[in-house]
Amino acid sequence: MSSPLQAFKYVPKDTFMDRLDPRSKFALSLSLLAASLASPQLTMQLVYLALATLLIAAAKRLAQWTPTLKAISPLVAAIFAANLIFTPGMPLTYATLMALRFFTVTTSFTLFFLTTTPDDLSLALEEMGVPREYTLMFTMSLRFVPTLADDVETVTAALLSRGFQLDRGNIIQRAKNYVYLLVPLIIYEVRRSLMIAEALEARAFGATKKPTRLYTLKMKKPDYLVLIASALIAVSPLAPAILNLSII
Amino acid sequence: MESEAAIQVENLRYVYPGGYEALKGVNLAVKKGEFIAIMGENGSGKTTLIKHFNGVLKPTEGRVLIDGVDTRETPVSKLSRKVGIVFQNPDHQLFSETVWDEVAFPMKNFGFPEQVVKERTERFLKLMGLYSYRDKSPYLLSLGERKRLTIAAVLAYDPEIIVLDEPTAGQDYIQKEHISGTMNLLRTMQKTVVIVTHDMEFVVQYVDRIVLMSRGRIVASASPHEVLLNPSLLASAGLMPPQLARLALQLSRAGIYTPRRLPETGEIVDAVLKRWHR
Ligand SMILES: Nc1ncnc2c1ncn2[C@@H]1O[C@H](COP(=O)(O)OP(=O)(O)OP(=O)(O)O)[C@@H](O)[C@H]1O
Ligand SMILES: [Mg+2]
Repeated sequence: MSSPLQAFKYVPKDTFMDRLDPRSKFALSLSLLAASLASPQLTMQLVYLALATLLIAAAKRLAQWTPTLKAISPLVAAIFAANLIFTPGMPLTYATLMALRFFTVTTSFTLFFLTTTPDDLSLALEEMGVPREYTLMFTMSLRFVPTLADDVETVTAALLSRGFQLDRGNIIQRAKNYVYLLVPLIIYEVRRSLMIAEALEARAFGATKKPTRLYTLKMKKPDYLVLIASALIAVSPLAPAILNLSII
Repeated sequence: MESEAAIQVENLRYVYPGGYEALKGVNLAVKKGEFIAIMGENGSGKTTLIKHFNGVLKPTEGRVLIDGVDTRETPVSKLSRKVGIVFQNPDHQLFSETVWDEVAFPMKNFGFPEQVVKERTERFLKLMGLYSYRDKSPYLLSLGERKRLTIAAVLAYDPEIIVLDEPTAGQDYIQKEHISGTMNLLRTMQKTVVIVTHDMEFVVQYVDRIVLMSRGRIVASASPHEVLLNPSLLASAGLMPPQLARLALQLSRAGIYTPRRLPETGEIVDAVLKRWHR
């Protein structure tokens, strides 16, 4: 899989963050995001970014996070440049603020996706009232990203093995070459999804409206602490004003 | 002599991108005109090994030479002219709108003259019993038919080395006979053939040599008779001797018959009758 997609792939590890309930993790990421969007001070942005980074480090996912950072860097540079050019008044401060904010927002979301299994995620969504059909669709689509990547590789290999050169001809010809790749791929994926649908029905999916669960989500003590911390983070943009701190 | 080997595999190690080591140092030489079978338990690395023969997979360590040419230095589309591989899953290798085009596709890629493409497409569709489907979409065929279609597509462009991954899987008796007939044809054409299979009876009839694989290694390489009459060797690769071999071995334990090669049914009957009349 290509490296930017790595950001959303769950690799199992046993850390404090992994053991949290997905709902409290979601609250944490969301509060960091909200605080970052609400706060106009550079200092506060640095605090949020540092906090999100610390949490990723605590979850031992720094190595997975760096490719994402690299991937978004050009985008951040563009945001910085655009704000520098188009902002009246103090463009440097504002441009830095916007760039930092973008880093903070992506980091806090990466934190959530890196530490939550797709299964946990769909459980959490169901608890929030999302119908099971949709949560299943969601987990399955995540589950099929690597499978699809494998299929692309296999079909490409088969094409080359029939003497086909994908990079032959001019640009238009090359684009056409990819049709040869797409046809078997689409047919294969459609077939696969039909098979999955049959398999689901064969296992009585949808037979009862409210099926029982083998795993259920349960908030524990650390979860409540995280929820309290999240609430504090969410209101923290007000802190400089309340404490009368004059920071930029 | 090195120049005699059609396929030369040296200390091949292959690690999949996920980190799984599927081949752990494989050495193998297939002579020109040799007909070999690769057998072994599921997941032993057979498919991984043959994917190295046209460079679709490149060695993590070691090297693979085809007619003396290193696979790392030649594009797959060029090596494929020499090495035709029929992959295990037909669905990943059908690209055309009709059965006819499917067989013609590689020949067009390799620049065969139109008249030749036409003749050979017809001939190989007939050989594989698919000629009546020529205007159908390949995807409407049954799994067994799709597999035979991919075999036809490879044989039609006449590669020197032919590699077949599980050619008989899912084929009924009659179609197996069709494929058998094709194997005989390849023999008389003195092609170099590598087949990956779990089909013991099929193997005994055609191959010069069986290469047994287990857990990413080659554990044995010998004539079918030696391999199939050696239960412990087969067991080490997760395989069962064919029924005839088991019968012969049991008779041999009872002192009735000593097999030196895999017997025909008639030989066993003769041996038993001889003992009976004594
Ligand atoms: N794309 C891949 N990525 C990671 N591991 C793989 C991949 N393809 C195969 N493997 C692993 O490599 C090992 C060997 O696989 P391979 O397909 O070569 O086995 P095989 O001998 O052909 O088995 P079978 O008899 O089932 O066809 C298996 O354990 C398999 O899980
Ligand atoms: Mg295989």
